Amino acid sequence: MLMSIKTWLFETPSKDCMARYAKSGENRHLEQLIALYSNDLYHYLVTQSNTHLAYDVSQQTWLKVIEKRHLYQAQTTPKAWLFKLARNTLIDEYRKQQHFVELDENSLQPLQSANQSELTNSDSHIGDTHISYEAFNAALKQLSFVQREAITLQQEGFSLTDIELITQSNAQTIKTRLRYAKQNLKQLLGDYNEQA
Amino acid sequence: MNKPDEQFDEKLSNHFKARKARTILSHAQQQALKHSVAQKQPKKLGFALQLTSLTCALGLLAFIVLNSNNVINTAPKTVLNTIDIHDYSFITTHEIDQTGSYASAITQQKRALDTQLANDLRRHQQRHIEYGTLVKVDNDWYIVSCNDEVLVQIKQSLLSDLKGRHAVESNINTGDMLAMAHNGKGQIIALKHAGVGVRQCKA
Repeated sequence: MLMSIKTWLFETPSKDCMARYAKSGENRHLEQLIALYSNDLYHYLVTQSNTHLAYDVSQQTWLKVIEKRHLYQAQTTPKAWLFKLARNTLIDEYRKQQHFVELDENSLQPLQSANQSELTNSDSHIGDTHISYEAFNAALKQLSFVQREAITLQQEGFSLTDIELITQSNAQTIKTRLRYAKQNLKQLLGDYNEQA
Repeated sequence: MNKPDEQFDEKLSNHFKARKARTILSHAQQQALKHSVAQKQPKKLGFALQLTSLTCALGLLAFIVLNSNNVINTAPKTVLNTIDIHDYSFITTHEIDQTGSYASAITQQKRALDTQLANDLRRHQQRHIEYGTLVKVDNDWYIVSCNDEVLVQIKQSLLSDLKGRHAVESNINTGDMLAMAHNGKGQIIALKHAGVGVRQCKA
């Protein structure tokens, strides 16, 4: 009660929506967060799973936001904190389903070109501006969990520090994952063939 | 970074943007998400309601405090016009009751009588002569004992009884220093001027 009065009298409103929600627990702030970040989260989760599981995990993630709001610290990027929750929820869900997720670094090696023929037709060539959505999507899905994750997070606009926080990995590991992810995508989309 | 890499990164970025634009929650899904999350949101008292509760509680507290003060303050002031009863820890009342027996009572103003005060009272009752100033005379006499904590109220009944036995000196006026003689039971048996040696209470 006294804290509420103090907040009401002395504190200026925070620009960080997550910080406001963490402090007040008010539903309107949670709705703002959902409006701001739900699509970003959903895209990340679809990339790392499928549409059905992504929606399910997305719901679970928002419920965790309610449960764990007191753990949020304003110095953390709110979006990165949400993605970390979502990632952990997804991995927990995979474990429940006994779905094997390659979280170790053994999957960092460049891909063998086993499926390359499926992707390197004229429509899906990376040098071709008319590369199809399906071809790019298929190539992305060929990457390992951690490589796909690293490049998706980078494309989402996260800094290396943010990705470290989300994936709980060190910077060097993330750089390596990014390098291999790009290399593999190039290979899968036939960029090498174009340059050759 | 060389040119092919830059081109590749740019194309990658464009493909991701296009993919993201196609992978979004529908309006219905987003509403359903908000609805399901809102249902799980714990209900909390609004700040306005908390403030109202606090105000009510303070109001109730103030009422209790002021009301209890009124009970203590009003009654004695109407009886003892100029005497502040709160200056005294005890009021002893002496009278002859309807059966003709000597009766005395101590009105305890403090709710908690500590041991020290109880001992002081006992000592006070054992004295044979007690000195005090006559501060007010109406039907009863009010004598402030030299022990400032005690106001002695001598009721009309006892005064009449003492006067009948010539145990009250004549020419006693308000402001006089009096000597109250007690018997072994603490009962007042005589009232007279304190004499030349005792003009005022000793510190």
